[in-house]
Amino acid sequence: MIQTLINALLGLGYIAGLILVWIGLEMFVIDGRRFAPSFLSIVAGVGLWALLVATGKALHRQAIRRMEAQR
Amino acid sequence: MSWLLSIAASLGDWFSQCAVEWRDAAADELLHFRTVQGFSEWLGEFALLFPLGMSVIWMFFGLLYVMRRERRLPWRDAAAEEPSIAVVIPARNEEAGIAASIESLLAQDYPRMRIYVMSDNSLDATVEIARRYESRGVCVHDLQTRHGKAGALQVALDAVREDLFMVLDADTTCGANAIRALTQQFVDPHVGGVTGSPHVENLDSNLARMQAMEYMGIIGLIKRADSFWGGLFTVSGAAACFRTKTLREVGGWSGVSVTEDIELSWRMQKAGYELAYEPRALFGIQAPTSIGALHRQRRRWAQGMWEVLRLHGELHETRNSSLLPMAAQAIASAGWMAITLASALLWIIQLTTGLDIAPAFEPMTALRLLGIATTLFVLQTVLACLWESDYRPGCWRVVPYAVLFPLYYWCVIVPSFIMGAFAATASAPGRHALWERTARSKKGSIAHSGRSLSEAAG
Repeated sequence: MIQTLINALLGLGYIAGLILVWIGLEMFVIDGRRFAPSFLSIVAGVGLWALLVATGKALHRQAIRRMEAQR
Repeated sequence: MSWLLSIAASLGDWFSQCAVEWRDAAADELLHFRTVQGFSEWLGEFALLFPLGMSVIWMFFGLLYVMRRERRLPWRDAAAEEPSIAVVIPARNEEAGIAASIESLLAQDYPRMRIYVMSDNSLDATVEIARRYESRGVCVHDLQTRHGKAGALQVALDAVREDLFMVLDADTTCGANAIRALTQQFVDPHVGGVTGSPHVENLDSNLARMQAMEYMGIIGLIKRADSFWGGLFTVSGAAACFRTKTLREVGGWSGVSVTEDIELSWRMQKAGYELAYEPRALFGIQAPTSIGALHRQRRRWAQGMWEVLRLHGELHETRNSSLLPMAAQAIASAGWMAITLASALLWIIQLTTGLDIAPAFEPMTALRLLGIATTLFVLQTVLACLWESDYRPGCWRVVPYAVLFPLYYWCVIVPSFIMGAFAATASAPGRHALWERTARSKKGSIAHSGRSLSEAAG
């Protein structure tokens, strides 16, 4: 149950990161707005991915350690 | 101290101004949904910008992989014992390429290697050619009934005794030291499989050169980004190496998908094992040289991807979180594909009925979009070339093709991708994939692609 919740949050986070990147590109490319806010949006999206990847890796390593201890 | 405070205040102002702009932009997005025309514009914008967003993400994580992992890839201590490896070449009617494939293996400097050729009821001279190498230690198995690629590999898996099990397509050649480079990654006990870096050998047409650019600038980049996330969407079916014990533990090749490599990759990662990318292991492949052959290949890849997502897409209980960013990409790609299709349908409706409902862009916006898309693809390719030039000198020759990549992508790749998704929806997973002849190059080299048992029987 907890694993399902964690995975759902991670998955939604990845999708949210994609949306941030997309809005950043949309602001600059389509609307022709200022570069800074669109760049920040892209950085926030990519940063969110980086944070989630680090979290996911840490959880995976923990799961492996637990599996090995059980063996 | 006061100057520090004034800088902090300026930065705060700047961030709040950016936040207001961002909020306004997000609110504008919601306004799109009020009218049919606005919604249609949103569809068009998403369809065109999604690949650029993915490109930004791949470049960032590809760069991180190169900086943090690729420069420190392991090389086994020379004194340490190397694992034994069985290199299995599954083949059906591969007389054009099998000799080059075997020769490239025999030229490897890896003593603990045994080569197996699994001929899947070949009707040409594949077996005769392979038997000429028996005196040099090559084992040839001539299967008298058709098993398909997955079935032939499974027969080999049941028989081999080596520590590692490598698959090499019969029209693929190994670069110098490729086997040694692949085996290095197995020093990590959590790694269950390793894939090499394919490079196009038959650069005799513009289409093949475009694919060479794609393999290096897109597929290589994606594999680096995936590796940084801790896994791979798929190993390369043309050349991949696995730990034999792990392969048996997860059930080997099931043959339930038209792309056995993607299916096995997901099954292995769901079982908790890691897959790794080895950019130093180069493999020469033959790229399709006609639009039709390329379309069939890409449609098969897309079909396999959707089949695998249907078979292994339930990730809510997985403990391998590296699969989640790949699943998120795949889900977003599914949404993008549906939106692209909807945009195309709106265009068709506008053309036939005259209703003003299709996405339209101002000329300046269209120009800006084209400029940014091309710049991003060129930047992506230049980055990939910078990373790859250590392993393949002369890779810069394909960079100019990045300018044409958006055209190639929208005219060839996207339609094949959409058709593959429809094929996967129409077909039931769980069927056996057999071989199909697909002409790849003018030299007559043959590759395989999936065909269902029922189709084959029919």
